[in-house]
Amino acid sequence: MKFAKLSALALSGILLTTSCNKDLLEQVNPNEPSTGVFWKSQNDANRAVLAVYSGQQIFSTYSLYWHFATTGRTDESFTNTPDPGLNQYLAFRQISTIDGRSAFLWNDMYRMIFRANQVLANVPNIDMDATLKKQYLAEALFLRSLCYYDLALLFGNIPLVTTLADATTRVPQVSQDAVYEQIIKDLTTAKADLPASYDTNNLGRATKGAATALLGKVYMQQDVTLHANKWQMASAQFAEVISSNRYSLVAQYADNFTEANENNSESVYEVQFSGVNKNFGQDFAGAAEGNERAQFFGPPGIGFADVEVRPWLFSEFSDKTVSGGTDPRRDATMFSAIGTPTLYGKAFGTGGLDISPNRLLWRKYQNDRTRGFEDFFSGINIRLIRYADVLLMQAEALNEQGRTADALPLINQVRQRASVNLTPLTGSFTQAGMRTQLRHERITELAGEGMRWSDLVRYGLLDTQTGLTELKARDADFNNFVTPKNKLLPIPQTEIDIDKNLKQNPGF
Amino acid sequence: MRKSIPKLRQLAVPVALGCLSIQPLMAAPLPSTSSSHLAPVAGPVSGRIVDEKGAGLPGVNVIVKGTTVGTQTDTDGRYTIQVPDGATLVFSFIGYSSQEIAVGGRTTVDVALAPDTKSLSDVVVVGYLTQDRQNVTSAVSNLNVREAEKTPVPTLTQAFQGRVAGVQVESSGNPGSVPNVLIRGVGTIGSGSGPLYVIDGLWTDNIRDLSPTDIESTTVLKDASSTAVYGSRGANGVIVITTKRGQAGEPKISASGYMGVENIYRKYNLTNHSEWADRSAQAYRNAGLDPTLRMPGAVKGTAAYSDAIDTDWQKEFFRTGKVQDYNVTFSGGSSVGKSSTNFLISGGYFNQEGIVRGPSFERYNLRLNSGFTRGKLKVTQSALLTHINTTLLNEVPFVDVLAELPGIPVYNPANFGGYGYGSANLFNYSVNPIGAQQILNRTQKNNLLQGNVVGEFAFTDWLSYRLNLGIDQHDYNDKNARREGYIRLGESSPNTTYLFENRGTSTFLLAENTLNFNKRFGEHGVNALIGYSEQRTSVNNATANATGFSSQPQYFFVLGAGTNTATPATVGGTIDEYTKRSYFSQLNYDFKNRYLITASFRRDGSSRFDATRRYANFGAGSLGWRISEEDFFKNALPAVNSLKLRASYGVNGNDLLPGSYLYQPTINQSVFYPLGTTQGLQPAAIQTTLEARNIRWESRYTTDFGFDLALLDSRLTLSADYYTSTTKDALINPPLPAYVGTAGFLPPYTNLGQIRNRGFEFALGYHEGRKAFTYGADLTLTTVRNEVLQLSDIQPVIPGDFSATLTQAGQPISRLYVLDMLGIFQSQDEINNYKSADGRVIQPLAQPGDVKFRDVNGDGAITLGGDRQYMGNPFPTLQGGLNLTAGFKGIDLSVFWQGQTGNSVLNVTRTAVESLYGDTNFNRDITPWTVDNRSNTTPRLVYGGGAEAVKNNEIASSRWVEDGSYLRLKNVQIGYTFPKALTSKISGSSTVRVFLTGRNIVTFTKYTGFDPETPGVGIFGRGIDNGTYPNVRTFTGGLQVNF
Repeated sequence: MKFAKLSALALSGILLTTSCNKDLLEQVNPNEPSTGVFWKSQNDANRAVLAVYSGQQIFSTYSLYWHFATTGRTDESFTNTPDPGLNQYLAFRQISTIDGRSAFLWNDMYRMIFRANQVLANVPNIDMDATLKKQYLAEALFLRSLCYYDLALLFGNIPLVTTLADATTRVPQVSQDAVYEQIIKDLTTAKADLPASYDTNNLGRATKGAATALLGKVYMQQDVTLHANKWQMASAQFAEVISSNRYSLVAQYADNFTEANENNSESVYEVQFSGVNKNFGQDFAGAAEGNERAQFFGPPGIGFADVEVRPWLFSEFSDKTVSGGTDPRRDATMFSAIGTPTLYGKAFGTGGLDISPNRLLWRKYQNDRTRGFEDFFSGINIRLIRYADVLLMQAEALNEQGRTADALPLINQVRQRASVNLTPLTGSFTQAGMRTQLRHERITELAGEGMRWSDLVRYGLLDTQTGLTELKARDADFNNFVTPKNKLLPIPQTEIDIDKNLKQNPGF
Repeated sequence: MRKSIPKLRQLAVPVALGCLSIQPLMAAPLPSTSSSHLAPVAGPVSGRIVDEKGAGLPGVNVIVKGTTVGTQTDTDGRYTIQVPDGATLVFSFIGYSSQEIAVGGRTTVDVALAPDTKSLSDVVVVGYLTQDRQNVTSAVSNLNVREAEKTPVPTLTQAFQGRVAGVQVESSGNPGSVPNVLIRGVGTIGSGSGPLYVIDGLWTDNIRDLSPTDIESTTVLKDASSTAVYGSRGANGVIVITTKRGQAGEPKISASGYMGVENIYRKYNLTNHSEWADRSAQAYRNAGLDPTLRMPGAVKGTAAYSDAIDTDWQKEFFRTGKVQDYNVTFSGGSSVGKSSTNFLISGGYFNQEGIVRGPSFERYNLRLNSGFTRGKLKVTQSALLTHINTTLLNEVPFVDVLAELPGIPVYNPANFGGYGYGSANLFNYSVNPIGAQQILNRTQKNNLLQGNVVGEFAFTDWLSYRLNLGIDQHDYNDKNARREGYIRLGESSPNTTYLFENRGTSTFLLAENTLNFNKRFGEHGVNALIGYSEQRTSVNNATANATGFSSQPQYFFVLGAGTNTATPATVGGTIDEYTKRSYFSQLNYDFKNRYLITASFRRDGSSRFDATRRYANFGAGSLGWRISEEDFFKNALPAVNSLKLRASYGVNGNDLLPGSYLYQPTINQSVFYPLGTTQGLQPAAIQTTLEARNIRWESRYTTDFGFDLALLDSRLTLSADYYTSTTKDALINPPLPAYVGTAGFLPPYTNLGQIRNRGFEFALGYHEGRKAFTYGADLTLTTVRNEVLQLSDIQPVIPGDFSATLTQAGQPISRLYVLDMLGIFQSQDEINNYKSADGRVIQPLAQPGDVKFRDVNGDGAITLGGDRQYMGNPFPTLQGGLNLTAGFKGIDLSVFWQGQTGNSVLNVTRTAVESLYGDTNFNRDITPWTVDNRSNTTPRLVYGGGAEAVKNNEIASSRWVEDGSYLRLKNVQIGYTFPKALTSKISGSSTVRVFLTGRNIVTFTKYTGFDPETPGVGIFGRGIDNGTYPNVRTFTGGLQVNF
């Protein structure tokens, strides 16, 4: 029985050791810090703000899908893609309300907004440098405004989330106009607190100039019947940017679309991309920091050629340089057999590049100057606001106020940058004549940069039969365009399913 | 007691050597006749042991009581033994009642042994207590393991399909896949819905790698009264598994094996290149597009067109798969007085190569079970060691094999890597399904240790203490490698090679202490238990990814060989720790073995909930009345052998969440943004997912009424149950509106909603075993009605995959929710006249040949938002199985039918060949609508599915919803056991059986896809066939030998 006693003792020993661990059920996540220990220091605030910026890199925001929505769907472009969903999306043929191209854009813009709202809710409580705190909050407001601008432009009536969201957050859908009002309010606050410039380590963050220019752009985009003085308001903002004397047009037009000349003097705001990591995904160590546009817009054999250039755009570059040459911006904008007989080191139409000599393909933001291939990880920054755009917007705002003559020198500034040097415009324009001229100036300067969709909306071309007729003449895809339906993208079906207070856009 | 210790050592040697040679085992029969430490020998006694029919019983243990002296009977049942004066002989044999006979001076002792009516299957493990089956008052079903063994399946859970009422099993044919097992419907949405498996006392989630031949018995516990004592893990039902153990007597060897072939039993009938070209070009023309620009390879008479290549992708892709399974078991034991030992060593090898080149599954098993009893101490040990090699299927080949164009060759030397895929002539974005299995290589190596040690100490014959220490450890090494080469149109990076590796260990530790009181007081039987347990699960994993692997001179797929410095190797890793603490008790009480009561209680704490919501109480009770024991009943209905009425009610819980820290809000630190002139990556951090705030235990309440009936000398048995089970505080993580800002991440769990399952279960059996011709039939029928009773106000609906399912109160979980196709517009007049009540033309852009949809909300337009309606239930409402057996002399036959009805399947796979786009192949069996062929079910060919709002190919439409009912001849096995007279010459008591088996021989179904049995992915993927690996038809032959 001695053996039995010993074994009983041993067993009860095990019983004791297994049952006296008090904290057995208290398991703290060993993988990530809890929110409770974050939001404490200046460094935390800075990292959180940078995380909002990082949201701009997601493939459905400024890496790719934004380009489909704002360049691919306009009269600048058309598609030959065999991907039926993308084909239909870009040609207004059948945009299902479950289509991922619009849904992902929506989803990821709101992801960035969630991040911005975290900064806005938590940074005020951090004990830190007061100036820097104001700057961080202003940066978050700027980035949130950027998202809301694109969401309101593309989707119209949207839920406006301005507080820290949680699982129970449900907000009402507000009008496009109400979203613009919120942006105006936020940007007015932000521009006061943003620095005019940054040191070399922080280049790329939002500046006072960026917020001011975006504010002007939002004023312009408002409905004139609701905001009679919108052109004055816009004009005042652009004047601030111009008179700050911080910006100038770069000599080389192409420097606006390459990796070598980022954050230059013409750059008012750009999304930063880097090609260092080549792993798909977001928000993990080693994840891609590049944009996917170059792969999807690149010529066949190099990229997917999902978005091609409409021929009228080639002809639109009809202005001559002072020395009588072709507008050099054409060949910086697009690949063509005439303008760029070689690309990526190969002859156009031969050498494995499966391109008919008649095809025109986007060159802006392509890496052809530096390498012979594309991938999903282009390091070229996407310029969202260029000084040239600011000058042309100011010209438009002045013209709309009847100050047509004041618009002329601004236009000539753009026409006559060193490397472009077109013959300057002279003489007097009627207001309507200047309007037409400005449309020409904008498309030749800004083609393919994602400004065209907001221009078409602002010009009112999507609202009238005359406007659509004009667009159809340039782009047969507009034969499929149904008004008012295709003016807006469908709100994702799952949003409508989940939040029954949301109303789908008309026609979907 | 000390005397028997040397015996243990003697035993240990053959155990250790068991895998190398069977000789030592044969040479050391236990109990040994060589031991001599006894009273003076009086003389030899001999005799013959016969069974109930008078036939000699070989292998019967004959032991002199109170000693280790013993022997075994020979092939004719004869024995001789030396006995001391006054000896008593003990005769024992498995399946027969032991007998003790005093020698009393005789020299011949003949014995007839009677079959033991109370064999192992008559004792049922319910929770922590065992009960006589006749006294069980819960909804408990046994799987007939011996019969299920005639269905050679890779994993035990597949054997449950159709054989146990109330258990639904859905599996695919994919080698190594884990079937879905549901007991009594889906009781949860967000958390795990699979049952708990308890193997010899060890808790585990997965029994894929348990060798079916190692199993002695399995019991399925279905209602609350049988599962509540498992508390937090009982809600989805519990399957209790007992593995085989050695028995006292001559050591036994049994070996079995089978091998065979498997094939896809059904293919699509697809167009060849010429037929495809006609249809494809027409699809473009019908869309107003010029096929010479968009699909030149489809335009006959042009330079781009050539039907020299005409690939039958299905023929190229499918092949004959192979399956083989071998097992060998060594077992034995000794028994001396109150002391005994037993051991079992079993080794197995299983290998399955899929019906397509690539996927395979290979398993090595070693089981070691041993036991030791000495006086009041009993120690039992079980361990399973498994090594597994799996090669996974890549991409979605069961869709791609259909969608690939016949004009594309399988191999194309002009392409990088040498595989064929779409081109400018033949636009097609499918992945080459054959190339995908060769360019990509995803493997998994696993080592598994599942085992436990149980120590029991009996203080008295009615009070005992038990300690159960268990471990379930799983080491994994997953590798995903990619060679150079492209497998679909549009790939362009010059170097696509990579190696991703994921290694880790998952360890589950269990410590259970129980104190058991078991005593009869006259007519009152009390069996009570209290216990305390702790559990800990920790998962550690590390991942790494490297790129740039050169094929020169060969591929070196090790992480260090990645040469791409432009993208440095990346690493990752996670830790997950999960702990539980439980207090529990269980009570079985009977009066006269006639009036039965059980009760159980468990208090569980889980680290997955915050401190204020951590603990919950679960409990259940049941009542039973063996009415057939009452005199009035016996007098009134003497033909009834037994009838028991029973009822139970109780609650248990579920915390099977996909992570252990979900309630804790955390900051994602793996965010970066490039800044400055150098574009250096700056570290960023933010909350990217939402925490599951205030989550607590999910509870499932089950009420069960049932009866067990036996008639005709118990040849006819019927068990029936009706249950209703309601899950409250169901843990659900419905997708949030994306505007909350967490799209793409796991939505947070909340306790919202109630789910109810109701159903009937019947198990009817008839077995005739009294004559030479034996036969039997077992029928199971299960009905399940699943309904969501309530979701929260804030989240009233949960949309599912493809926006084709919806979960909403008043409906089953994840019911198909799609547009209703009314037919095909036959004419422009029909389109013009199809108007809403207020006179609007509903589909103004449609053309003749387009799909006509129902305008459900009457708004004069077809929209997904307003016009989807409920069309089908992904869960079958009636399932059943019928097993027929017959035996005559050495021949045995087993025929098993299985089927289900009431469910619908969304056939997404079919859209690949019936979308009628032009960019994929076509199903030859359907003829697109034309003016000359006015189909009312198949629309016209039109690229893109037609103009805006036509929606011919909308996945969320009834065009793709099919009846998922099927009836299947699931398994047939015919076996032949050679006569003993023939085989006993090999060894004393050997049996030899050969068998042939066919699986999935015939399937009756209206379903048009590869296979109606579609497990789907996740709760919301049930009922969606999106490239599911179909179940296959298998033919095998095998051999079983025992000696």
